[in-house]
Amino acid sequence: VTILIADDDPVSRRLLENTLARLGHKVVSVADGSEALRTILRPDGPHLAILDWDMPGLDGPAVCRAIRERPVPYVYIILLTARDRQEDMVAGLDAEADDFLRKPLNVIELAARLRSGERVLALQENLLQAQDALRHQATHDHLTGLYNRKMILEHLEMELRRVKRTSAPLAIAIADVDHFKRINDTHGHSAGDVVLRRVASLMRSVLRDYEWVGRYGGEEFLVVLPGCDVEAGTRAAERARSQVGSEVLQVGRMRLGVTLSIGVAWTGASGDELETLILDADEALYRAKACGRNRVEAWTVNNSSAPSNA
Amino acid sequence: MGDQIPVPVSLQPAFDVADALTRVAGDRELLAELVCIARAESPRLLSEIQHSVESNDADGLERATHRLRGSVGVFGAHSVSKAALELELMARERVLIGAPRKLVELREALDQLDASLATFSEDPSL
Repeated sequence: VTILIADDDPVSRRLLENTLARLGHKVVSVADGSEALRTILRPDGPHLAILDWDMPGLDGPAVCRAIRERPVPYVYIILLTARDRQEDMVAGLDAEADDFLRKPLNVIELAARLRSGERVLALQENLLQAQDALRHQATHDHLTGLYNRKMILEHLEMELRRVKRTSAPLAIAIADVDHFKRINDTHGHSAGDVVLRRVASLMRSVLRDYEWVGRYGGEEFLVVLPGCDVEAGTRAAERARSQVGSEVLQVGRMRLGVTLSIGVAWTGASGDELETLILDADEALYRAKACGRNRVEAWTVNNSSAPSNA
Repeated sequence: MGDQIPVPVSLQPAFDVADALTRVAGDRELLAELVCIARAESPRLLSEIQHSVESNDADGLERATHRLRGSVGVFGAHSVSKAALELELMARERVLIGAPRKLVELREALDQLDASLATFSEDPSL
């Protein structure tokens, strides 16, 4: 663990440095409160700090209060003090220090208090990891690892707000795996799962970092393409279609060819309302299916009213 | 003030080696290093304290005496700590009438402490 020591008294500072180093910790030590705060607030700053109460710049409780304005990551703070009045103790706790260490220091007590700090930090680390895992579960599709429907729609909504602000174009594409039901019925659901996972990763591989894809429904994927007009959106969809179509998927002992039908819509033709965009992309997808599958169709004002029949 | 130790402050050693060794978990080498740092530091603090007393600067006096206590506390320096604390309390109460006299006491105690620390520095194994 990296530990920050902030103390303007060189004797205490040396004693702390020496003890912490012997306990196997990495030590950063400073002699004033403002420097202590700067060090802690760095992105890779220490999560455990020993702050002297009386320091030039900011005093220990002031540094403490400033650190607490930032909720995560939690910094475990031990206040060092030669003060022994009750009101000082209360002021320190009110500044949200976690523990006190009385001066003159005693290294055995110091080591024990550090252990208790490390326990709290480990607990905090576990909680954060659990929270991350839950957040991932709530926003991602467990089969493909892509964003789930809720998350990709949230992204689309966010991007549409930007469209409204900046009037930059945006395209979306809805891709559907052709004859997916047949794959499931013929080869079993686990084969279907393999196909979906492989298609997801192929689609992800042809998209740029700022382009988003999520699993929209059973075998449907929604792609959000910021900055794309209908031509650029169609090109992106075409890349995905041809990438998936040219791959022979290994599913167990079988080798399967899988194709995508894709419908594209963009804000220039459909406007910047989410529901309309989706509806239009769906309609274009329907036309791609009707025109023989394994193709990309874009929704335009002219052909919107006349979807052809297969 | 010193109420946890029944022995009168005047009879306690200026530098309580046994107490100090407990604080550093028996590490004489570390203690010798701390002694070195403290001996280099205390003249500066003393002159800060003296300056604050002379210029009637209660804030400065409170800060410097507090610093000194923090710095020598590790050596179980009871008489220095006691005199420094009394000065610190005067400063906190903003009543500095007795401060010059207490300063003399502090100076004497610091001299004694420094002599003991010097002896220890010469042979930390004692």
